[in-house]
Amino acid sequence: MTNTIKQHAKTLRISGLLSSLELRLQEAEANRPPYAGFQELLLQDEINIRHQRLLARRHKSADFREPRSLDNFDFSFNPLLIVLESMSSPPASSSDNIVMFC
Amino acid sequence: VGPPGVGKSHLAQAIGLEALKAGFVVLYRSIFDLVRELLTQETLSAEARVLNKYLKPDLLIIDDMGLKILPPKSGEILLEIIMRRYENRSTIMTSNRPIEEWGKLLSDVPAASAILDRLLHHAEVIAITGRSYRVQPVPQPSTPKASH
Repeated sequence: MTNTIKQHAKTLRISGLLSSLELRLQEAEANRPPYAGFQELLLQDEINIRHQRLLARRHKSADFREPRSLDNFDFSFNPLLIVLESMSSPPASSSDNIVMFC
Repeated sequence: VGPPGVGKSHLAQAIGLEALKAGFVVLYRSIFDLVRELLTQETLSAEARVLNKYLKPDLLIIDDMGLKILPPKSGEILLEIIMRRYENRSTIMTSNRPIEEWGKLLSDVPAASAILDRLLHHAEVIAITGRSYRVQPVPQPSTPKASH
């Protein structure tokens, strides 16, 4: 990868694609993809990196106390919690609320 | 719904994570930290800035209601947030005390009634009962068999 490409990418604020550019260039050398396909791949890499960074920023600013996910919740420990597994999506798509209490 | 240790905070944060992955802005706070932050602002403009931080997220998670005694004016602060998010943004609240006791917890029965009136409208109330996940029986070591 040339320094010129790196500089141009930074000037254009698309440096996210640099992390995978070396690999993409090697793949292009080996497979000779169409120009448009190669360009599309580079742009998709930039989009993916930006999305990952956005999620990381939002995760940090959410300020969760502990790293918790539905995957590491033991639904079998308290059988009544099984009802929660029927929740297919979080309610944030509207202005609905959740209250959990005893 | 349930006593301490049944997973209210875990589930609230897990739902928050799913909302975050779906593209929503989420903010998590214990209620104690939330009211303390707002009560310690020295100017009205600083208070407005902090308040705005709690009004903007698509999903605000207010955890630990009932865990500690809340300072005076907590009811007013919580009411302001819930009132301004009402039918506008989503809120998750967890509490290890029954809703009937919120007036006592906040030392402000009218504020608690107004909060619950708005919070429970369009709300999913999830009651969790069961054992505490933190207090699990320690597995007993198996007795070694006598050797001959």
